[in-house]
Order: sequence, then C-alpha cells, then structure tokens
Amino acid sequence: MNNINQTLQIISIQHELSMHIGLDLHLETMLEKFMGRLIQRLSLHSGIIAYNLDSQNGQSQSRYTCLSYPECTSNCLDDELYTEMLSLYQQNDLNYKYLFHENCHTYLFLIPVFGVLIMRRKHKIIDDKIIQALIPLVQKLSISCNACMQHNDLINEIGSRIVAERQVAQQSNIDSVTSLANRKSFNFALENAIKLAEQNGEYGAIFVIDLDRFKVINDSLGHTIGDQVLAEVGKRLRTCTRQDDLVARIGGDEFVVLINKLDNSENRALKKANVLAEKLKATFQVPIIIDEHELNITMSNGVQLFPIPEARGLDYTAHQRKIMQQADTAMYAIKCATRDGYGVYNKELHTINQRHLAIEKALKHAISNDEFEVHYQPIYSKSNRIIGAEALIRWHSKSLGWVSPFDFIAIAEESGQIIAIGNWVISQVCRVYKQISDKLGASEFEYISVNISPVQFNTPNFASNFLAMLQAHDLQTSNIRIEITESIGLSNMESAIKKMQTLVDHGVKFMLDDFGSGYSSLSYIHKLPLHTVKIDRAFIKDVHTLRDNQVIVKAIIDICSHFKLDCVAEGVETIEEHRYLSKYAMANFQGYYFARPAPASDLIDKLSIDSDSHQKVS
Amino acid sequence: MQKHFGSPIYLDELNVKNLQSAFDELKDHKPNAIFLLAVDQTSIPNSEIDTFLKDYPVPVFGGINPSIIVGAEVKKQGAIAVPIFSSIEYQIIEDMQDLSSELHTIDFDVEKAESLMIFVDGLNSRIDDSLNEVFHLLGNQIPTIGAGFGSLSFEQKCSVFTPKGCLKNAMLLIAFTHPCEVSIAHGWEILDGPFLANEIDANVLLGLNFQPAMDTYKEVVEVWDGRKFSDHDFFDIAQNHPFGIDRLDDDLLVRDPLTEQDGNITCVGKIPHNTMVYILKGEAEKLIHATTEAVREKCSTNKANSGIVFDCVSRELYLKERFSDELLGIASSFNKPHELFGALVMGEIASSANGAISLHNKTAVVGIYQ
Repeated sequence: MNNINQTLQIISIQHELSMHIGLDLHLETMLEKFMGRLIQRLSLHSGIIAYNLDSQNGQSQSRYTCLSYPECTSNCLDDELYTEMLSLYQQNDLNYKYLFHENCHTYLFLIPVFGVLIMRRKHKIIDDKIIQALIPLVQKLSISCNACMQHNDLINEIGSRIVAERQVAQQSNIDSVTSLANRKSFNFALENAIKLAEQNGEYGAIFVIDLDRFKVINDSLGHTIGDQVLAEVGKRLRTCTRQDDLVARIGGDEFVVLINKLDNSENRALKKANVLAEKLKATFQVPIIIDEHELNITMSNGVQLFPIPEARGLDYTAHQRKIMQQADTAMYAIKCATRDGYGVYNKELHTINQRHLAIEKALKHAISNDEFEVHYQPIYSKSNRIIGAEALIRWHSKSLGWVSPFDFIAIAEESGQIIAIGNWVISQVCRVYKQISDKLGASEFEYISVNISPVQFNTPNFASNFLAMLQAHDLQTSNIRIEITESIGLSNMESAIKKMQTLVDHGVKFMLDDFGSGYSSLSYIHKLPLHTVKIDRAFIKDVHTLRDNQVIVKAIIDICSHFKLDCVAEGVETIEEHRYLSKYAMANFQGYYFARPAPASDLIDKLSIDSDSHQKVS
Repeated sequence: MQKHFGSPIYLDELNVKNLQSAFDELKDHKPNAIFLLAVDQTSIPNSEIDTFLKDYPVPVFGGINPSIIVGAEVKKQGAIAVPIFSSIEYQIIEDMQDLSSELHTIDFDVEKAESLMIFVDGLNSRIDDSLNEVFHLLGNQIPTIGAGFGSLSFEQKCSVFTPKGCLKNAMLLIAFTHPCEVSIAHGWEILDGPFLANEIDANVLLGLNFQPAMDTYKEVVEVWDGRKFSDHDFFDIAQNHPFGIDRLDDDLLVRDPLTEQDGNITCVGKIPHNTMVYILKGEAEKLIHATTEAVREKCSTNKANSGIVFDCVSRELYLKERFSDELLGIASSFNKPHELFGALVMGEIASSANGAISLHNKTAVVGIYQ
C-alpha cells in the first residue's frame, strides 16, 4: 500500500472507529457496539475491555469487570495477561504495550481513568502507524466510558430518588405500625365517599373504634407488644371489610372503618351497619396472642351513617367533621357506659359526650386546685367495733360542681390521670392513718383500704411506689390495705399475681371488691393472693327476704371459709339485712346502716367515741 | 473418520412424491440429518411440502435458491437431497428482526462443535447484525460457512428449511462434530479508491468522499467501462464493479451494488459508516483463478472427501458460460468431484482467518470436509 493510501486508511480507521464510540449511554452496550466494529475493521481474533481495576492488588483476579468480544465463558485473562494489563493500568505511564501471547499478537491499550483495551490478532502484526493512530481514539473512548458511568450514576440516583419519593408518598398515606391507611388517607377517602353517596343516593357508614384500656397494655407490656397488638387489630378489622372499604388507624389506639354503598334506604343501611358492628365485635372474641401473652381486647365502637341529612348544604370538610364528631360521641358513650360494645349516634349522646370532655378537661387541674377530698366509710366487726375504713374519693369541681366517681373514674382511667389521682389518695390515706394512730395509739382500728384502679396497679413501679409511700409516712404495711376488682388481671393475670405476691410478701393485704359482680369470680379467689373478699351490695340487698341472694351469700361465705379468707358484706343498709347476715360467719360489715362515707374528721371522731365506749365497758 | 456427507440425490422437481422417494432412498444410509437445497419455483411456499418436512423423523436443513449445484453443474430447477452422517446439533431463530430477544445463549454444546453452518433469509435486512451477535456468543474458534437463501425475484417469502418447516426471516445454526476448512475467495481487484463512505444508511451508500455516492462511482466506472449509466440498466454495468470494504488483514469484503436512486446506491449487505471502500474490477480468468486456487491451497496436502459450495448468483451472471469453469476448478480439488454440491445464493457467509463471521457478496465460499 502506498503512503497516500495508507494515510487514507489510517484516517478511515480513526474516523470509522471514532464514529462507533458513544453510540449508547449504557456502558456495556456502547462498548459492545464499539468492539463489534473494532473486531471487523482491524480483523481481530478477539477484543477485551477490562475495567473497575482500582481495587486490584495484583494478588488474584477478582472484582474487576471484563467485557469480551466474542464472549468468553471462563476467565478472559490468564495470569500473564492479567499481570500485564494491571501493570499498564496502575503504572499509567505508557499508552500501550505489545506482547506475543498464546500465538496471538496482543496489544494492550491504556484507556485513561477507566481500564485497558486488549486486542488480539493472529497471523500479522498491526502496522505501527495504525497503532499510533489508535491512541487518540482510545482517549476518546475513555471520555465516552466515563460519560456512560456518570450517566449510569445519574440514572441510579434518579431511580433511588424516585423510590424514596414513592416511599415518602406512601408513608404519608400509610400508618407505619399497622400498614393501614392513616388519618390523612382516611379524610380524603371519607370526603370522596360522601360525594359518591350523595350522588348515588346511597348511605355509607363509619365505625370509630377505640380500644378499651389499651394504655394498660402499653404501660405494662411495653410499646413493642403494644404495636404488635395494634397491627393484629388492624388485620382483624380488615378481614371484616370488603375490598372497596377502608380501614384506617387515625390515632394511638383509635381506628376507623369506612363502609361505602351500604344501602339506599336509611333503615336498611342502619340494620346492615349494626350487623357489621356485631361482626367487628365478634372478631375480637378470640384473644390476641403476642409472644406468651394472651390478650383479651375489647373495643368501644361508635357508628354513624353518612351522608347526614342535616349536614346537606355544608361543605364537605364541615360534613366530614360532623360525621366524625357524631361517631366519636357514640363511641365515647359506649366507653363510659359498658365498653366492649357499639352504639349508633343519637342526639342525646351529644350531651353526654360534651360532659365527658368537660370532665376530662377539669380533671387535669383537680389535684392542683385542691378539688379532691377523701371520704371514709367505716367497716365494722361482728362485735360492732370499727376495725377499718374504706377510703373513697370525692370531687367537687370548681367548674362542674360535685362529680360522681361513677362519672369521673372511668374517664380518669381512659386518660391515664387515674395514676396521679390514685397516688394522691394513697398519700392522703397514709396521712390520715398516721393521724389516727398517733391520736388513738393501739386500738381495734387496724387499717384503711384504698381502691386501686387496674390502670394504676399495672404501672411498672406500683409495688415499690406503694411501699415507699407507707414508709415515708412511717406506717406498717398492714395499715393500708388495697382494694382491687376482678379486672385487675384483665390484661395479664400472671403479672398481676406476681405483683400482688410481692406486696403480700411485704405484709400488704388485698381485698377483692364487689365480689360476685364479674363473670370469673371463682377463678380469682383461687388464683389471687387475697386476704378478704367483699361481697357485692347486689347480693346483700334484701338478703333477709330474697332466697336467691341468701343462697349466693351463703355460697360465698362457705368458699371464703374454705380458702380462709375474711368476708365483708358491703352495702348493708337495713337492720334486717344486718340481722340476717350476723347469723353467718361474716367477719365485717360496711354500709349506710352503720355509717355513710364522710370526711376524715368524721372517722376520727367516730373512732374516738368507739374507743372511749370500749374503755368504759372494759 | 466417518464421512460427513453422502452422495447427493437430484430431484427434477420439488414435490412431496419426489421428496418421499429421495428420502426413502436415503433412509437406508441412516443419516443424522438431510440437506435439501431447492431451486425457487412458483409452487413454493407449499403447505404439503412444509408438513412433510416438519413431520419427517430426521431433521431437514436447507433452503430455496436461484439455482443449485450438483457435481459442478448448475441446475436451474429441481432440488438435491444430501444425507449428513456426522452428529449434529441445531438452533433455530425464527425471527431475525427480534434476534436479541430470541438469542440469549447458544443452545448446543459449543465445545463439541468442530464446524458450523449458518443459513439465513437472504432478503432480511439484519443479516450483518445477526451474524455479529452470533459471533459474539459463539466465539472465534469454530470454522463457519453458510448462505443467504431466497428468490431472485426479491420477493421475501419462506426460504430456509428447518425442522419447524420452511421459514421466513429465520436463521438456522447447525453445529457439526466434523471439522471443516473454509475457503473464501472472489478475485475482484481494486479499480480505484480508497473512498470514504461518509454517509450510509444501512445498506444504502449515500455519500462517497462527501459527494453523492453515485457521482463518485459513476465518475470512475464510466471511464473504465466505456458505457454510460444513463444508457443502460444500472446493474448491467454495476455488476462488473462491486465495492470492496477495506479490512486490515483479510481480503476486501465485497459489496454488490444492486440499484441506484437519487444518487444513492443500494447494495446487498451493510456497509459500515465511515469505512474505506474501493471500487473494484474483475476479469473472468482472475475470478476463476482466485476461487480455484483458494480451494486448492486448502487441499494442498490431501484432496478433500466432500465439500459444499455457496457461490454468489451474481458471479454466475458475471461469468456467464465461464461459470462452469469456476465450478470445475473448485471440484477438481475433491476426490469425488461429482459429489460436490451446493447452491447459487444471495449472500455467502464465512468466518475469516481471525474468526469473525461476515456476510460476503460476489464471493465463493467452500466448506471442505476430509
């Protein structure tokens, strides 16, 4: 070939191969297109590009990328070629190297800041002029390879950002604990549901569900278990609904179920809503088991149909708000009354709910405003001596007036304020007992009993706090007894027994209040480390005439006798009742027949009189 | 070593009856497969023939061609059936337009393959790209020959015989355990160039040296040939002056110019963008000498036992009555020249000395089997 033709050939090779660089933004595709042309144009036996070489230490071939044309099934570079390749790349002072390797003329070109191009030819070497002409080409290849890598990084970054944005979007609509819709999603869905219902002349319903005493679970078992309970609740609620319905978690232990397209008749829609409410309730009859804990979960469920006729004309936000308010009111009514049930909103409930909210609000400042008082109802022995007293809290709210314990205790338990109130009561009782003890010295008066809410009892440090308070007032552990109800072991029987035993081991005595009013009374007597059983007023009332009550009372007395428990008859109001009960091995009596609950001063006066009269007799 | 092919059987017409008779004759020899090369006829495609080939218990490979070669003679009608005795494996790609989704791996054991044959639809536009993809997967160790089959009417119809019937747009890969020597030769020489093919659209040459391709081409060819393109059919003159693509080692890769329109020249086979091309000339004697010598060189130590020849149909058009000299020249290197068979094809496929598989035009490719 003459010089001119060779020059043309070189220009052509450069131009042709240069035009085959950068034909794709995807690195491997771009390199394949280039290599395909390179093989043909330079009549190569094979071509290899090795890259990602920065982590190579020369000890072994690993973790670098090798693109071979044609493909090789095994290691593309034997040790000799690998070593030469790596040396060229790492030393970075030569553009290319030549070696005769395995019967092939082998050319290694450094692709700056990227890798190494290896060309192999049989039969003839490549003219040196062509080799030199390839050097600037390889420089261009380097730019293109690095551009592809940057493009790839950008794609990955964009991809990651899209994934992250989707996650954020999803998280902003999804509750992370239960994977249900969150409040934001629910509000959006409810607005759409109202629009659709109005358009189609249909009724839907929402069910606002609040778990009963969920705080007890969280406080006693921890938030990890609490979260698992919430997740399980969410799952069970979902099983009761159709695909198009929505279950959302809108607050700590608050869920809402949105049911679309119930019926186009309000009456029928209401009937269907009731059926679903029953179904929701039934779904929790089976306890939830988390680790070794068997948890009986109940819920208060408020039901509200939509659209609300009187809300027509309101904007959708106001309409939504009204629906939620009314469902909430219905839910609170259930919570205050019975829990573990459901109710449909009616206008009267509104009033009840308002009062509920007012009580909750006023309770927050009741202690600091000195609105509470502890009254004491004496407990009498068979021989008519005052041997103890039950402490009963009274609340005279500055804003609400006298508020019955039946009204505020449940609210205090729900809101958790019962703990502070309970501690205040214990403190007051300790002070009063100390006062009595100091005044009367040794006497028949043995104890004051305090009613402890399950919510307070199940707080982690209840036992130690209780003992500390007694010690702070320099009292014996036998001086203050704890009255509990059957619900003490509702969330975790074993834990309750263990805590009671700890206190019993320190000398504290437990009295089971309102015995017979719950459904599992007998098992409690058997399991709990009790000292005394207080028979519920319901069985004491007219016991002298009511045969059923007589049978029940006798049975309870016999059981107590068998288990060596003291027995107190609560709510003795008439002399007839007292006379009747006196015939039996009843240890003590309490009730209006003897004395009503009264301030501490009253108790102290009674005790003084009682003590004086006893001394005179002696 | 076991013989690779048996003696070809000529059928004067391709129909089911003739096929049945020929295949019955071959059955006694227990072939592993059968080559079937047929001349294009109006009755193809034919569902009866298709069903017969698909249902035949032994794989049938081959295709439809402008002419076939039996014993160094060109036959303008009929077909030949040739038994294949060596072990074979094969892979069918049913649509070359979608090769990248169909061809992810080579299905047969490449380690065992001593030689390869590739048959393609000669009128498909993706032959070069498809061959590159096959080469990429297969590697450069296996001698390869093959052909593009089809009709000289340039009507694209089913042209490749496979065990799945006669297919259009298909590619057939057949791996043999029998080794092969590949002879590639054309004999075309440089008339003028090189020229930079600065503007290309696949197989259409748009610009040479930054001028309209036809202008540059015409300038060279009309001077040499003495005739004017304006006075003759383009192919009448152009068939004598193909293009040659420069390659560093190998012989020039020939590209056959077929038609011209608006200054653009359409060729058979792709021309790479910005490659260097020459305008070629030929002499019958040199063409014949090149192919004959190429085969003779491969058979220099021993005459070959069997061979298959894929010769370009345009070489026959160019060489005219001298074409038989080419075939005789090729056949003379074989022990049994009358058993040399093959076809006049629309594009020849062969692997170069370096291993890369290319589509050739106006070239004779011979597979030589000992």
